[in-house]
Amino acid sequence: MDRGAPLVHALGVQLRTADGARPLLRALDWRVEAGAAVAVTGPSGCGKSTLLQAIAGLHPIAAGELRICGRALHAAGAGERARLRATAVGLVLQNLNLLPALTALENIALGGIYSDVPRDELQRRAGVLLEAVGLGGRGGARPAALSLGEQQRIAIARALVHGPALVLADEPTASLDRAAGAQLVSLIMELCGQRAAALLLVTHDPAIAALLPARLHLPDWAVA
Amino acid sequence: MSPLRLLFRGLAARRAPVLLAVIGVAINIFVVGLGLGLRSATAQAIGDPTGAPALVVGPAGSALQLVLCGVLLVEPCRGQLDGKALRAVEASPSARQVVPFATGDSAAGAPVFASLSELFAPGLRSGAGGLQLVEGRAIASTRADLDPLLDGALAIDARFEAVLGASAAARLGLPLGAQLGLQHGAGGGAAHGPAWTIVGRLAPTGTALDEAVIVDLTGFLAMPEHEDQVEGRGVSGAWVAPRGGVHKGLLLARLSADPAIRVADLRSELARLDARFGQADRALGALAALMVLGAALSGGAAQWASLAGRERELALLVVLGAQRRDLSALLMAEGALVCGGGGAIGAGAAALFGRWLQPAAALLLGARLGPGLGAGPAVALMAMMTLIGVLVAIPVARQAAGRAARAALGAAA
Repeated sequence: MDRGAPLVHALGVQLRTADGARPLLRALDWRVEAGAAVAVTGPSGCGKSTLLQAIAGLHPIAAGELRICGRALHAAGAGERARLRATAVGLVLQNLNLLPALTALENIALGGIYSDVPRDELQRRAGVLLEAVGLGGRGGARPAALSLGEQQRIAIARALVHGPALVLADEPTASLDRAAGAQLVSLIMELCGQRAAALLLVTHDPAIAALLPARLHLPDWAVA
Repeated sequence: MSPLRLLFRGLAARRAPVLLAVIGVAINIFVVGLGLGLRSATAQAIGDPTGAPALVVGPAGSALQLVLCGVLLVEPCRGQLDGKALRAVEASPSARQVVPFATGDSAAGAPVFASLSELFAPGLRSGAGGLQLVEGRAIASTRADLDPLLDGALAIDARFEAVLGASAAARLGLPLGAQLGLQHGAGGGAAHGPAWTIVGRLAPTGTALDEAVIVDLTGFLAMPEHEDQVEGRGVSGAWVAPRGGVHKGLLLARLSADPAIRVADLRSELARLDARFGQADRALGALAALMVLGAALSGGAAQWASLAGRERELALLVVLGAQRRDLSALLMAEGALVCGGGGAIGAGAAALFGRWLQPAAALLLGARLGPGLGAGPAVALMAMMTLIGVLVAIPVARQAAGRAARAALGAAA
């Protein structure tokens, strides 16, 4: 990636629904600098999650150019997009998707399973992150034995374990009350800040969005 | 966390269906292994018939049974040939050499073949020279020593000496001068008679004699248990070497005319045996193919059935950066483990069962079998199933990759 180049650079990006039937975004021009923290806001169905999927290389770009960490995602093949997710992007999913067969510590380490980070280092980082999210004594617990909030913190740690430059969090506070949600967002911001990772956080809650220094209000770019 | 660890954790989490699939594969491969083992056991028991005598004569009965007991030493002979019948065979002008024998006992699991020094002479066995000794000497008694015994004389000069076949010698590990006892029957029978002194060890012949303990016929007949209460002493049969040219045909015709004698042409009996084995081989081959197919289906179906429940897991891996080849490798490794594991269990069980079957067949049927499925074929079966597991997983992996990519959108939404 060029020094000084934006981490996310969207130029006239257009998105459609997964079946391609309906346009969602019209010509989005947008830049996110390294280490930034941006809330992506808007009402349900406006395309917030779809934009995150597109940045993660999981949703096709109908038109325009989208560069992530200097790589042209709009022209990348499936392998290159997968490689980007494995090395440079961390995802915190709305549905937690922790694997029930793995312990908390293993679920965190799973985040780097396809990265270039050596196994031992991955294990060490997973331990550090487990402490950082306040679950130091629960590394051997299975997801079923953890509360929803604890599971969400494990998912955050998993998104950071391979040292991504960009963390995408899709409604991470959706199933938490406002206070717990605010605490969780603070935790994500703190961890991303410590690691100089940029954060794009999708939320429909203005109070949560207000916690982040920058905002992308998606309805401004939505197709009417 | 490595893909391998993820693989084992996933299998452990689905242990019940995985175990069922492994058992399904194992049962199918057990049946295949058992069939192959049985085929191998009979083939090992028969050995290489090259170097066997051209004709075998014995009492009235089945010619094939005579070959099985008198040449292949697979089962004990029934009935006996008395001195008169033996002399009638010897009197035939077409017979160049006649060597009597008796069977029915065993020594430490090896079949006992009682005969005379003429057995070791060149010219008796077609396509081979005389029996070669690695050490020691041959049996000392000759045909002339047998006559008084057949005529009912007291067995004063009977010799209790034995020569070990090459394989039997390797297995028993007894040196020259050591003694061994005989048991009645093919194996597990009661010990009887005096101790026999080992006087020689044969070089490998490639025939059933390799597995046998060859004992002196005079000593064998001197044992009271081998004297028929009604017919007195007799032999189980005789190996016959005909003179050249048309003499074999003449001998066959002449001896076949005697209702008290059964003559077996070794070549035609072996051809008949081969034909039977050929049929059995084809049936076994078809059964084995079906069983392997069943095993492959067991492994494949289990994987296919688990896909629906694993959609989120595979989708998560896609979100974390798994490529199509990563998912394929994971599923193919799973297939290899399930099918290879089942194959190993099935083949191992078949090999162990064959080892158990060997003495059981000797005890129950009086038949001597080889040790069955060897380590090589068992490993080959396991390797084949591992490969099949990989191949069966390919379409599953293809399907899974497509599903996971679609589900990844849902997971990320």
